[in-house]
Amino acid sequence: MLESREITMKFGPVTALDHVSLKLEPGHIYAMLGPNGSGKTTWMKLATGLLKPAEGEMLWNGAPVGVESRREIAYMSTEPYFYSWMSIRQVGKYYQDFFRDYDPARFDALLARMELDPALKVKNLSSGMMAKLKVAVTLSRRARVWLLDEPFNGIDLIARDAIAQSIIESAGEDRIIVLSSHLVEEMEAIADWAVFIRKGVLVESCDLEEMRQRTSQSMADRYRSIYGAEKEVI
Amino acid sequence: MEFDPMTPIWAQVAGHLRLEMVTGRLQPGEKLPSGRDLALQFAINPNTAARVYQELEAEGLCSTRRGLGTFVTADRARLEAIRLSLAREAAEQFLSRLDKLGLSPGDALRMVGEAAATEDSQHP
Amino acid sequence: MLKLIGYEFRKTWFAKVILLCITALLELVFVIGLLTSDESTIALSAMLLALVATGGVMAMGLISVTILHRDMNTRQGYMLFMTPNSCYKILGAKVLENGLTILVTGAFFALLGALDITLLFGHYKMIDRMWELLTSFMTKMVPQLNLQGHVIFLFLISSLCSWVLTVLTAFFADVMASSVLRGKRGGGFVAFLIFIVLNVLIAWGSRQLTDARIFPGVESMFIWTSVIDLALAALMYWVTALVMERRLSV
Repeated sequence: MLESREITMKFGPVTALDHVSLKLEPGHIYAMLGPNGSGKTTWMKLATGLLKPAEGEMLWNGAPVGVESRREIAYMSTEPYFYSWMSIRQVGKYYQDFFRDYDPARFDALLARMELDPALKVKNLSSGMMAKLKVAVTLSRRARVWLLDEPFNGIDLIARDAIAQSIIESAGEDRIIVLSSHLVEEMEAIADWAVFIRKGVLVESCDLEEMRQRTSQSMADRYRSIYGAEKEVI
Repeated sequence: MEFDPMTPIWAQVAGHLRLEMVTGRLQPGEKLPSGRDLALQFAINPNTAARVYQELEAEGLCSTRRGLGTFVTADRARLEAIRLSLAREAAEQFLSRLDKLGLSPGDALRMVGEAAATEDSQHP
Repeated sequence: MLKLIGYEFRKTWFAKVILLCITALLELVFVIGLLTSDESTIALSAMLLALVATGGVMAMGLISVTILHRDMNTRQGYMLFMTPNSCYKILGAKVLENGLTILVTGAFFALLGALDITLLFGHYKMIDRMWELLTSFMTKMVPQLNLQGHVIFLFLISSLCSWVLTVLTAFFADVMASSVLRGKRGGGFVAFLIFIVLNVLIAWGSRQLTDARIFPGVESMFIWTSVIDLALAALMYWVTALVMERRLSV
């Protein structure tokens, strides 16, 4: 279980997360939703240990996140982060060097599925290829938790389907997958829980199918009602 | 398959499979995809896929045999019963729609007759 | 750990290659100068080599500081900090890689220098005698000064150790700037001040320690300052890693 307890993060005067308590259980694919700056990325980085909180704690199976949790939690940031001198193959090698749960065969399979040539250098990748590489290498870790920040960004439709497929393949009873994306509609069928964050505060967390049954709303409708835009009545 | 995101997805996938089963496109006794494969096939959450089979099993349309997989029921009578009940449901929905358009069941019946005649002349 | 060190080496590899190329070029010019007995070429290339030697060793240290800064402040740093390595290991790898680089670079230039001087003396017998005159004169003037080979060696070691300490002090200051002081007004400036103050303190402290003792010889003084510098460097490493582990947000 991945849990934040009253976690608070400040960047200078700005409060990015305000006493957010959230529990994520294995066996689910969570859609973490909210506009830019709402705190989704911050929460994920805190879970990875890249950020240190001002208050509160982030726990993995009861213990504060740190070296041990990073062995089991895989994070993919929105921004590109590979060393520019590396080739795609070398990126895989780097992951293999440091992550015990990395599966090179899965990486090769995902590269093939996304049509990425392993010999290409990172500095020569288009933004679309970079986006695909990030997802491919992150999902090649047989992690317990995957935190994917905007995995569909900048990716063409066919590749998005491939990524959705890879995500579903990775899911399991003992795994947690968290997806944050602006493409809310893309995640309707893949996610089974939605977490809505607004201005650093957790607004709502719900079982999607149950919500649909109860309110006849889609996740996108719920998003609109929480974040304010009026749905056009035709 | 395109989903309506405002209604439970498990119900939509179950409806699709139900149709396949009662019309024979999925043969009685045929092996169905595993939960994970179903999820991949429809690009849905694995828990949703599991729910689909749970519901269909509750209706008696399929059964899971531990270690072997999930199979369409071999009970043709059951399949037939559900097929007819779906047809009846479609008929009731039809009548209800025409009622909303101001047609009585009698008018509706006449309209069906006309439509059937047109259908026959186009596809002899 | 080895893997971390390997990647640190890879990050600094380009600068090392440049340094090697410049040195090779100058060395070539020096040798050509010797062969053609062109004194101005010899003198110029020798001076530049001496400059590149001292500058090169210092540059190696600076580059390591730059890379740490980049790892803490840009997205490329995610590569490093999202691995399941503690900051003790991460910083340790950087310190080891850099320490080794400084020592090897220092040794390299020392050997090159020794080689070039030997070549020079071999070519110009007169300089050899001039050097003997100069050293005997200086020894008469300053009795403690001992320009024997092993003393020079110890002097170099002590200089390198002192530079390693300086680099680690810079690491500490940069980590403070990127973690505790980040987002605070004038954080970078404060970090720089910390760096200056620490250097001044270390210099003052060393002076106290070397004045207070009566050294039987210059050798022991050099050994003593090297030990002190390395001990302080270790302390600096430990404190820096602690701050990184607790307070660093990448």
